[in-house]
Amino acid sequence: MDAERPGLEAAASPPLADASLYLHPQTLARLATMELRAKHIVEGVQAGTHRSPLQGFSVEFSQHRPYVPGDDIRRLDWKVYARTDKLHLKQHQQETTLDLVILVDASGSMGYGSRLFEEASGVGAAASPDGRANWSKFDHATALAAAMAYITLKQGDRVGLTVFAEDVKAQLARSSAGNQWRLIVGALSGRPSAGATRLDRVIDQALAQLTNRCLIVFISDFFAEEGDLRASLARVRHRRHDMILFQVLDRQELEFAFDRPAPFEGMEAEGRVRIDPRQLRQAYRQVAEEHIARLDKLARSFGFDHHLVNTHDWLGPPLAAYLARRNAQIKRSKYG
Amino acid sequence: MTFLHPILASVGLACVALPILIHILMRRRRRPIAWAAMRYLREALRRQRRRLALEQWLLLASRCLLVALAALAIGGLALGASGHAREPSVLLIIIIDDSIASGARAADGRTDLDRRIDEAKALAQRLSPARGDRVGLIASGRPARAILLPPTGDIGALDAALDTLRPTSSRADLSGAVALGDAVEPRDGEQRTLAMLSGWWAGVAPDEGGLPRLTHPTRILASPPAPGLANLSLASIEPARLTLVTPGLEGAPGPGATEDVRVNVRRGAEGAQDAIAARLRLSLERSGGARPLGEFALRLSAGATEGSIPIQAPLSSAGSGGGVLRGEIIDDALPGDNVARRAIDLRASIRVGLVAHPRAGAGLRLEEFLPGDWLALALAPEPDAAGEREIDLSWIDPGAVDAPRLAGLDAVAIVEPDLVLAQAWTKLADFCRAGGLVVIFPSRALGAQTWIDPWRDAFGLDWVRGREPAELDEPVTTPAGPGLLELIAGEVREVGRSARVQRLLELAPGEGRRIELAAGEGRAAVVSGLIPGAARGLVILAGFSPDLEWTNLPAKPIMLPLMQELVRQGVGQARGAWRPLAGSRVPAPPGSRELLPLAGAGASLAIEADGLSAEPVLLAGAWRAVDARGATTGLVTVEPDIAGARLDAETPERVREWLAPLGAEASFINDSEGSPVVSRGRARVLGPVLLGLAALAALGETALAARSGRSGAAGSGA
Repeated sequence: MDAERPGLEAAASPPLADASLYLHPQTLARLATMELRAKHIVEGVQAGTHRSPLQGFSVEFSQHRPYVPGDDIRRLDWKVYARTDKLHLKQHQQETTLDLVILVDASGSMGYGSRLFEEASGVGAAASPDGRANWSKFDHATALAAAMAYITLKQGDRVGLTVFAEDVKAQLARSSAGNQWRLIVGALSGRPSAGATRLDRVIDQALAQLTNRCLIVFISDFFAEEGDLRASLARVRHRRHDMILFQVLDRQELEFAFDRPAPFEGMEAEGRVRIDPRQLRQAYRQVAEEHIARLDKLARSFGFDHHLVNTHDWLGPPLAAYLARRNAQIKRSKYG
Repeated sequence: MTFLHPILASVGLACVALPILIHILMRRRRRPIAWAAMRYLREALRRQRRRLALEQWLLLASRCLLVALAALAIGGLALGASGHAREPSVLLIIIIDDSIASGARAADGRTDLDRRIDEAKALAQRLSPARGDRVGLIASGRPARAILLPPTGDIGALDAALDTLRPTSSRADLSGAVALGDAVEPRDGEQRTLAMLSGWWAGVAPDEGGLPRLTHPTRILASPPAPGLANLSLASIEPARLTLVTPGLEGAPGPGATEDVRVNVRRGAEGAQDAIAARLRLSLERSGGARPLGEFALRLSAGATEGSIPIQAPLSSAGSGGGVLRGEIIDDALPGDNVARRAIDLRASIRVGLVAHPRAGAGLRLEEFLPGDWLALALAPEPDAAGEREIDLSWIDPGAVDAPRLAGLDAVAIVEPDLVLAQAWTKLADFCRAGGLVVIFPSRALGAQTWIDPWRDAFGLDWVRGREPAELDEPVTTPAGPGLLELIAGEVREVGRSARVQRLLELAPGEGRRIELAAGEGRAAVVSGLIPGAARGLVILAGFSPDLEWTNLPAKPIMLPLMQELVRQGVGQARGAWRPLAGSRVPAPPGSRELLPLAGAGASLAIEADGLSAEPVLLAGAWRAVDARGATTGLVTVEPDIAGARLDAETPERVREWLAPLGAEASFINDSEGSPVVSRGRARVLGPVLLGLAALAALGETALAARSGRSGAAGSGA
């Protein structure tokens, strides 16, 4: 496993793949009932819950499955409901499996975090396995990736993982095997490197591994050149993959609530600036808002989703709300 | 830029560096914050860099300004750097009037000098020593004196100098004071102000020559003229006789024995419309103290500005010896001119040497009398009941006149001058210069008077025009006016009509001599005067010999009082009257080395080689002059200069006229123009102004700091 995440700085002990540190049980419980649906038709190599783009293939009724909130009630089998008093859906057509590829940014900037680890981890751990007392954006990205992988694997879909900074640091091939989730969590249990993000290179490397259409979950703070990001997203769209952009930011990065003058030193070797945060707060917030808005607009321009994640928020409720909203959108579409 | 407290200002201004230092230190001390969103930060910084830099500089500047303003306020900034050129430092020369008039007391009991001192202190309080202002003090009581020169920035020194001033007995010396002030040259950029503080009464008027023109541009400030005050001055006190002979009494006066004393008083126009009644206290000052002689009433009728009031004073009761008769008006507006003094001499007898051949035996018939006999009869008649003679007469052979024989005599009468040797005339001249009286009658010989040339050479007097007497027949009389015979002038005119002069040397009238007795209308029969250059002594020269060939006067009853009066008064006058006015170096009797205060109060005065005191005497008083051995050489009374004691009010226009020759228009201190004398007032204003500005800077700093904080807090969260 270690060989699959080259460059990712690993802590010595305890074992890195402790999923409980990064995924709060409440989050897992909340997400367990959710299905991750691709907004676009995903070409899977296995039959699954996702509608196949291939016409005429196994379009007859295949099975019933329990109704879950968010399902289209028009597809309820009322006869089954009359007999059993339970809601089931009729599945008439072939549904493919979902290949989920998770890209996690492990660049230097992802190491920032102003939240206490003890508060965020949910299990009472005072510090991370490598001794950090703060809950970094990378920790939050790890939890998010673990949650997404958990949901996907629970649906029986395949999940792959790429951890990157300037380059790919670790990579797990797509699989729906039983230990895939623990492997994913283990691969995420390193520390961010000190370098910057090279999105174009990483996206190219990731796309090179994908032969079928996938749902790509891109977790980063997106402190990268917008031109590079635009080019990368264009290539993803060109390859007809779907993508969800989770922009993970710390609350301090959003609010810039420092109240004393101090030198600020970049975590990706960007140098040092001496400022009075009180004087710059308004302009900073405006810049951050503009950047987030531009990223959202950019994602939407390619038909992708952009979702802002605050590391000081619980991961479960916003993720669940996002997935519910996404499923509802899919069902309202012509493919839903 | 000047400060009241330069050290505080320096320390305060150095504290301006504190905000900068704190700013630098705080930057160095803070630990850097690792930050991920440097893109946001740099972009925000790029957008706000100019504004932030401006705000930071403004904030720093406001803090520095706050400290600087507080420092300037604490340091007592008098002027800003730019204001220095507009308002130069001030050289304030205060000329304060401490003349006799400055002792005038108003209804509140304070003297005019007290008011002028208050004015001077008030002016000095407006000075700003930190700006370089200086002040000097000159007292204008004659002679004008530099009390605090060269000028100083020490206001305390001025106050101390002012507190030492007391009214003098002299009149104002404005010209001298202005000259002293004008000699103080202002520094570059220094504005000179001459503050002339006086009550500006009539007695303070400048001398006839007027004030000198100032050589430098000078602002003139003057006190406003004070209101006039009614004042009675004691001009002089004149005993009828300066030498009182009281044989046998020696301090035990007989009941009712009094002497005539004439009290001369003067007053100004102020209050002259009313009659005035005052009291005069008379006393006799001696080395042992003062002996009161009683109080007397003085009255001046309405409209009279001067008067000569006779009183009968019991001078004979004062005992023997020398003393100073002191009169003092009680309770008057101006104490300085209420006192007058006159030295008098009380003695048991007068010692007179008669230079003539003594006649052996008595019982001479009248036609056998020679001039010496007549004169001896007139000066030393029969002794009184007690056997005492008022004039102790001794005969001196004309050929044996020398210093030992002259020693101890008060007077020498020469009736046979042609027998006096030439060198004896020199001895007689020395005797005269030493305070002796020399009475000279011509020789009874009808021919040429051969003694005139040696006498003239020894005495330096050219009083005789011919050497032979002229024939005439004129009655003797006394001319009007003061003289040795003034007291018996009436008797002479009444009784002396029968006394006629048949022969008379022609005595030349002229300066320095006084006609004591005349023959007919204006023909000098007896003249008196001093030897040229002498301060004392008296020479009486008669134009006739006391011989019946020359005049029948010896046989007339008037002869005795006439000769007695001439000798008595002549002796008193010959002893010298040193009565200088206050405000000058006073003369002392020849041979004096020191003046000792007669009543024990006051300071001794050294006598210089020129016979004058080393220092001018400012206060009236009486001194006993002593020689190198400590022997008394005479009495000196310094009189107040009552010319400066006229307290009639003058108008502001008149005062401006007095000050006009200075070359700059004078402003009175309570005028609107008088206030900008100096800028201490502005310095007082600058303190609150600076503090106000500091408060504004503090508000600005707070606003800027709040703006900085608000600019960060006002934005909405991302």
